[in-house]
Amino acid sequence: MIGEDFPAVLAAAQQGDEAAFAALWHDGQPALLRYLHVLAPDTAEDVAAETWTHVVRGLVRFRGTEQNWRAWLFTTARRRVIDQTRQLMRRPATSLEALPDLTLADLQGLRSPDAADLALENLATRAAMGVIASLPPMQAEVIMLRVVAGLDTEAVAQLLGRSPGAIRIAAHRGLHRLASLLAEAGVTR
Amino acid sequence: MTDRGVSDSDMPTFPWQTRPEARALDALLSGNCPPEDAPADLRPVADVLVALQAPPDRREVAGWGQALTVYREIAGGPGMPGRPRSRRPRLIARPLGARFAAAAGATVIAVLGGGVAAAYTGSLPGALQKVAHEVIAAPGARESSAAPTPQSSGHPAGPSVTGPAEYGLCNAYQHAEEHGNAGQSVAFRNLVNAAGGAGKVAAYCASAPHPGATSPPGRRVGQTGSPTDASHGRKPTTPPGKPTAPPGKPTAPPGKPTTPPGKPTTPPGKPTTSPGNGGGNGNGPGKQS
Repeated sequence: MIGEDFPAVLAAAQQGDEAAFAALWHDGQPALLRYLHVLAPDTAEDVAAETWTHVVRGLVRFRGTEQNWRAWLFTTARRRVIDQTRQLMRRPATSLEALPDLTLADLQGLRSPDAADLALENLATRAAMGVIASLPPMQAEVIMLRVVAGLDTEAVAQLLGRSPGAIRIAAHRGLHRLASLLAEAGVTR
Repeated sequence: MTDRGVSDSDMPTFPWQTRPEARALDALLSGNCPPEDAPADLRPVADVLVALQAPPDRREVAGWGQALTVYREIAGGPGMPGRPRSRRPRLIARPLGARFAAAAGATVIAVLGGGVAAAYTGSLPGALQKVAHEVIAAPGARESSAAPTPQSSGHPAGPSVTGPAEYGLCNAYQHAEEHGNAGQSVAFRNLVNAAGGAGKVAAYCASAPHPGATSPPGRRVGQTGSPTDASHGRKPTTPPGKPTAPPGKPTAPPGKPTTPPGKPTTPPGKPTTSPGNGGGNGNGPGKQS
């Protein structure tokens, strides 16, 4: 998160300031990639790059807080993944309105059970993503959006087209499940 | 079941958990709970969540060169409607080259333009410092002192693509460290992570590739005075709107808009313009939308 400087950084990036854009990118990209790795490990890098291209094109017209910015970034990425999944699965086209109702369950085909192929050097992070990816899709995605994307419950609810209550339940269930998995695996502290 | 729209704190607990537990989970999800403070049975979970947020490693920022190419093409061309002609980075680069800390204010003025900048400078001097460090830091201001090397602008794709940013970050990090605020910025955390720990940053930076030059290692670590960076310094070699094509082929060619930039302000749920903390945001150098 960039924090209180976000308005200034955003404004500068909108003016064409590369350093400001560097700050936005370096702040957003790692989280974006991790989220995408859980959603669609095989195409995470490509989708992230496409996401930034889209975002840069719309950058000058963006107005909002840092939360809005992140929501936009992750929403854009999510749509890319969904589009891609559709293409791959040749599903009948759905209307745009239906988009938010799609969940990770729709992306199962692209999802590898373990995140073993992650291009990450950080082993702890890699392991953490692997265990999150083993959760039920909706729970995994909600946790990634809450924790990694840094979005609050409301924002995640809007992004996924669910109620805040449903998001909170999914997040809590996911954490419970995670606790069980870790306990089973003998991870203690 | 009327949870829709109810804020977290008002939400009922679920049958399968106690209220304190729900609170603990919410705290974990919000990042308000370091693992040590978590209930014992949730500590392993807290550890996993912390690991998820670990600073990025090099590979995770390896796409920077490509992203910058896209940004240059779009920001430098007609793609950014309403954007003033002048290239801001140069304005920034100069004052920074002179003196980092002192340039912080000038930088923002350069970026935002006089009147608006005054508001900013008046209201968040501390923040400015941070912006300058974090933001400007990455791409530094090299051009004032050295002739642009053709290399950097044309090679966003190499392994050193993180180089320019890293290089600037190294300088900024040092500077921030002197002011005791190096730990706060994401960018710096990235750096620390890449280095393998706060104690190793100096060594790491000593070997960080010099943007523009192939590698004069160790040279820049000491010179806080002139943060260097490829993205800015190169401006002269890269005519706006016409970024040199990276040698390797980018996964997402700049020219290929996967989707028309549809109303960015409105993600599906449309958190459009919430007031948020953006005190100064509203009067930014308005691009009339």
